[in-house]
Amino acid sequence: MEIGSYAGNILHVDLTKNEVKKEPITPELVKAFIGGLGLSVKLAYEHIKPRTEPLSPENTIIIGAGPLVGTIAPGSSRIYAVAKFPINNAIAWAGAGGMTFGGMLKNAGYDNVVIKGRASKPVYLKIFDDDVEICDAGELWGRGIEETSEQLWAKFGWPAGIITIGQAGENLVKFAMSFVDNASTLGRGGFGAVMGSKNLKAIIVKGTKGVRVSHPRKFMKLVDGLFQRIKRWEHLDEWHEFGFWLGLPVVPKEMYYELNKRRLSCIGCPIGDKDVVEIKKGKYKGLTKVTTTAINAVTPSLLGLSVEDSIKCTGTLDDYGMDMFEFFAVLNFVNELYGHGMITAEYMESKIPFNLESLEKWAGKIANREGFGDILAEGLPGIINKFGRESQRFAPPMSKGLSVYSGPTGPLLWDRFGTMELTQLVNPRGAHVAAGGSPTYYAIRPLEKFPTHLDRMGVPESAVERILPQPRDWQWGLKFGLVSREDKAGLNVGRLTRYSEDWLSVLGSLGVCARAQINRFYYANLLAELYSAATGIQIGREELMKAGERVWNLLKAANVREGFTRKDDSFSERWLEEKSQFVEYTGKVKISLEIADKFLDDYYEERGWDVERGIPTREKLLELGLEDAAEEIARAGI
Amino acid sequence: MAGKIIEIETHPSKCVGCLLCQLICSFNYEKMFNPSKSRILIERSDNGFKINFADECTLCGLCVQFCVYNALEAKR
Repeated sequence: MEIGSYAGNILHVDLTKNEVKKEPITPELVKAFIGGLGLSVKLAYEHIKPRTEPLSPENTIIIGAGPLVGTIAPGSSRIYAVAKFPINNAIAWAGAGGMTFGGMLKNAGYDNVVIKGRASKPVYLKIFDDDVEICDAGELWGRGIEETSEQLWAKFGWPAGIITIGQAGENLVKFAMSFVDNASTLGRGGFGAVMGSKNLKAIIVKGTKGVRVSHPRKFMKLVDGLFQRIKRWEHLDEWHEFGFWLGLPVVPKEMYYELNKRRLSCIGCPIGDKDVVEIKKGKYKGLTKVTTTAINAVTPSLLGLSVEDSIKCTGTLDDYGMDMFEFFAVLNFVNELYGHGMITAEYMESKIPFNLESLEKWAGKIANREGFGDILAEGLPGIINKFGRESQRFAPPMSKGLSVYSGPTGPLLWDRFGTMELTQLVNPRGAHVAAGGSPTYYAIRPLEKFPTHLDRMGVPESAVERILPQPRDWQWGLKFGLVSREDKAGLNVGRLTRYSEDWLSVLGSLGVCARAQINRFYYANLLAELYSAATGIQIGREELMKAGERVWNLLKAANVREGFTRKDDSFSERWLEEKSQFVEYTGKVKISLEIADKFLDDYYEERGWDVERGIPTREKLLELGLEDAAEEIARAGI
Repeated sequence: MAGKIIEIETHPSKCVGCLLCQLICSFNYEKMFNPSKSRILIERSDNGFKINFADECTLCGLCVQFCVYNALEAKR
């Protein structure tokens, strides 16, 4: 049966056996898991056996592009990857603005790619329609992200989509990322190292088959409506002019103007927030860099570097293919250990200075695992392992082995405890903000605005009064001062986070970008209509949201199977108490461990999970049709 | 806007490579979203993108309507 807007096939690649084969998708599979993130999670659950070593040939990479990817639904280019990550042994998702990759994958005739095994020598995977080939990558091995991408484009031409690793991935650095089209990042928990462990330098994809929708007229009517709203948006011109700077103006406007060379976009995106920046003065005059946003490129300036040195530094880190946030977390950690006499001169002669020369030197040592860089390449858990449990109290705040990067002490400074903060703890993949991408980040939106937003996110009406409880209905909120009797309502971040994750799950499974500038134009009803028109599978808002919930529960179940429980979602005392700046969303009280634990309780309860253990109940898994996961967890006695 | 389009003027410096033009063009003429079947051709260049048109272009102007970055302008 042909289903509209799906390519219709899963591509299986076994790098050990040098084999490729196609498997058709089925209506049952896509009805339950939609595609993109959801189908990737489902395939990961099947293909990654419990306790698989993340850097072994048995670990499996699944990459997916949802049903709306490749169509003209605005901002539908998102790709997702799922694998077991080496930083924390979690079955983890990674998402990226797909640039051309997702659209080309669909055009080549595939919704998902499943890659297992290990090639006997460095290879890249070439997917050009039915021509799928595992090619020798000897010439590319050892090269950075940019050079690898450019060489592949020189050989095969743009708009081929490219996922590649740099030296950090090749050398199994546990916070190595992959890059999409030299612009977007994929997987801060070591997805790049998983590719490296398979001797897989890159994946290049190009297709000519096209993406057809089932009900073109209806589909285009919905798309036209979206474009009309986008064109009318009062901030559209500003976004085109300033990009992500508008959301995070970390450098003066004049400086942004000076740096910005031009903007790049993923396929089908009317916002286009990738930047190409150029250093206009000084030693590095003329150096250009493609970046996921100009703001990322200048983030090290918050640590005292000049803007020019920041761009040079992030360029180096990106080219090696390693996560900037984790790089700085690791350096801060060892400096602190050194300061406390816990690292001796055998490893470090002095604290690592945060200047460009030193940072580039250490980036190289880590990416190539030279000297002490070999230990740093293991990430925060590896350093704790090396220097003993007592070193842990000096570790930066972290969750599941990754540093939390928003909060009062993170690079993304923010003192409010919202969904983007809580999700860094409960997210099965470890610290990452996107699944909490509810409205809490850029502005403290008034609570009166929430009901409309919740409706847009597909939150059922019955849950709204739990998320925005009246004081009389929120006893613990009253007790701890999160709400007063005079307030109309409070905000229960724990309960909201569940729906924020489900919303990401739906967007990710369809392929719609989760960034606020795009997802603000979408709402659950519209997505259900778009999906129905595109695929010919009639689905309503509730069913769509249920699929999102199913995906997130299966992801959690995959990690429960690995042994993750509530203890792994626990709060870092240091994160909450350092500088004593974390305050509740409405700013009333400081967040204590006790309050944070209450939010956790409510998060699990809203998910319908076992609150004490922080895992899905058998009843919840059965309700979602996840019988296999329920049985497996029961059999394992978890 | 009334009047027949006589030319589509391009402003490559404004092009971000989103391919919305190619998506809508291929959909209109080939009934599928397929950049390789489009009559407007976006190519990556050293300093951004180049915009060209295939001989089959009918100057229907759909690409102009969908270019939200103002890289295409209809002359009537």
